[in-house]
Amino acid sequence: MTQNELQKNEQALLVFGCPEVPVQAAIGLYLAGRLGEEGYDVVTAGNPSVIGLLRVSDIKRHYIGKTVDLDRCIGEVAEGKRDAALCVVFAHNDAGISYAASMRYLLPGARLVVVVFGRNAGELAAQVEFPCEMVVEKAVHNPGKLKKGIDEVFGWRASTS
Amino acid sequence: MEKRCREIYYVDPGYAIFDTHIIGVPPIAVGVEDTFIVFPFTKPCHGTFLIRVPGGEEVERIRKKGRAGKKR
Repeated sequence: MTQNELQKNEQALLVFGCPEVPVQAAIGLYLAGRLGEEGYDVVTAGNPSVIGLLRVSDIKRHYIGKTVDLDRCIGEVAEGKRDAALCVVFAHNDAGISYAASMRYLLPGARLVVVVFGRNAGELAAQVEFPCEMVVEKAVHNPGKLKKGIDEVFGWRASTS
Repeated sequence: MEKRCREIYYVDPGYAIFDTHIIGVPPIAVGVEDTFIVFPFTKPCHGTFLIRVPGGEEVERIRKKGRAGKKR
């Protein structure tokens, strides 16, 4: 069985934070697209603002897959009605770190990747004290370095460090 | 929370109070003040706030389901 076949139908849950930092939508769409190509069933969770931004950006939903309200998603995961093999949380503020910590607890068997970005990325990353993989870049509107970090974590690019 | 409330209980992420599943770094502190319940409420754009509302049945529920913290 190929890697793609193994991952097919496995859910990848992308948890978006507040959309005030421009790079989130761009890197989120990129990641959703790549994960879809890998065979994941991508589900995008966020507040109404970020879901609206993503739906306008991806009018035919080629990349973002199914969307779900963030609060509803948390409830479904907590009640065992939703599961994911892979969870990626985008965090640029304390709230994002809280959501990441919660997903670590609620999805103990999932691969958890926390993408920490924004002006305070370094300080925020230091708050992560739970097991996960991290991509940390002080990115606000330039997705280049964040994309490189994500490519390295997912094996789409060899590490240069 | 621990400085404010005399009666504290600890729960894990996903614990529901009035259909709101609270999130945070576990263990999450929830307080009781008389008939009121005090809990953290997080929104992606606004951060985390402490909410104090009449608890109703949630007060007894947290006393049964939560892990008791210090009572002052």
